[in-house]
Amino acid sequence: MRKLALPIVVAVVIAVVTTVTGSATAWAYPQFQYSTGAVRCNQCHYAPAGGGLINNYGRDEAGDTISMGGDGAFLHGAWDPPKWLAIGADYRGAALINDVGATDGAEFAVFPMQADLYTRLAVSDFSLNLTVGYRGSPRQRDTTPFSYAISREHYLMWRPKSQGPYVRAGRFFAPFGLRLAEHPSFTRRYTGFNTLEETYGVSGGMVTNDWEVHGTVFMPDFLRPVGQKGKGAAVFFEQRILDGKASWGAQARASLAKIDGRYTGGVIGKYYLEGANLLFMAEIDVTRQTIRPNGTFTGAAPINQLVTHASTTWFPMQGLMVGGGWERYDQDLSIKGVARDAFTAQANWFFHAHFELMLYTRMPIVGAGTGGAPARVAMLQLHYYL
Amino acid sequence: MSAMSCGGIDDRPASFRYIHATILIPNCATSGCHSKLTAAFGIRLDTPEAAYSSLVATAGLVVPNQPDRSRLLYLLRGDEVAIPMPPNQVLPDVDIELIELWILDGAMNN
Repeated sequence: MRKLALPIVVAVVIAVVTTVTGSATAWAYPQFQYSTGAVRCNQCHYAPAGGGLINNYGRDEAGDTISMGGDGAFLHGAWDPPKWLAIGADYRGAALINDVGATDGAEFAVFPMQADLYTRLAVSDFSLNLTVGYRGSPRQRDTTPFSYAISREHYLMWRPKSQGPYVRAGRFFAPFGLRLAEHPSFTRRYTGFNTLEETYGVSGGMVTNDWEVHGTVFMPDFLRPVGQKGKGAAVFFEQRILDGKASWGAQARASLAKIDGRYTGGVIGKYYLEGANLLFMAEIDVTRQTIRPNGTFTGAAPINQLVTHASTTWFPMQGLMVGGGWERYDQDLSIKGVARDAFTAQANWFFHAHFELMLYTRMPIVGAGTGGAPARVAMLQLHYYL
Repeated sequence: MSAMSCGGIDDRPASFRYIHATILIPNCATSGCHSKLTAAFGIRLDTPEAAYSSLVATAGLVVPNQPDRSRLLYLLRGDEVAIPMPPNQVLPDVDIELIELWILDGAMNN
């Protein structure tokens, strides 16, 4: 109990400070696939493609292999919920320094990045999954308090076993690509998976230790849509290879909105070099965007876009994850000067079960340097899950 | 009409519908900024109708035919403003030039 006191006090202090001054997503780290011995994301998560509430196995792993010790169970093991109920919470407080060369200098903000509560009610092979929370923002906005209350995910799922078929209906992101936790990542931001862009839809698929496939039909949030507003379908396939130390995958997505159509295809790859504790991840997506003509606009040639991600993560010791990566987004391959690159570096310290301290830095460069000096972003984040 | 990019001919149309779909939606209509959810500073850029209305109706933001008097361009270039827009990653110069050309052409809802 005494060992636990300091981290809890630190967490509470930061939580209070960040809450009074000012949420992102509840995604998981794909870096844990293979590096922790788990080959499927849903070994640790209730969701078939990972993310969100973790299950009992995931909680055990969080305490035994991911963090530097402690009990990863709900309430630190003080109470076991009945089998039909799973609950949890995520809180992320963040301090951000954002330097884009503004005349007033760098921007500094302390804010709650994520505050979500999870509930899963299960009866037989069915479960109702609900996430409700408060969305934070690094900048003060003159919006109504209601706009800060959000439910990123809510869906009904049929899944007899963690390996096998499943169907779910409700609000969630269609499984697609690497599914990085960091929402500024180009593979999320420019492919329709930015913060709060979860869509409504029906998804079905099959998950096994050797491979998984997911198909989704979706439509935008009909109450408060964010980002692209297309209806469409997405598929994602991943196959584990090299004795469960690597995988390759492919994804496709078609989305048709009132203003445009977007057709994306891509591939992913992951490889864990066990002796060196290194995980390599890559994703490439190509999108063809067509702008729909209207009464005054007669149309334009289709636009071909490219999004890439490549990163390396090193696990030097239990409880520590260090990584770096490069991303590119070219919004129109036929036009020079519109591509963006970003270099990222991050360190995640899981100093005790339930706790994480993360330093994330990002340097976006516009137009291969022709768009001015690179921006510099640094974020320190304290994460606590219940 | 087309803008010149630094590397070659930029033949993209200086049309609001095109600019909205390719530049404003992915870069500005995000959850914490100019989406329907947040509408920062009362400006919504998530639909062509709302975006055109917000940009042209907000005093001084876009002045048709007068880029020099259009505050939007100062925000995008980070000139004489506290924080450039978008605040986390500025737009490529050629995108700003395309928006400037649209304003110069009369900032029509085309």
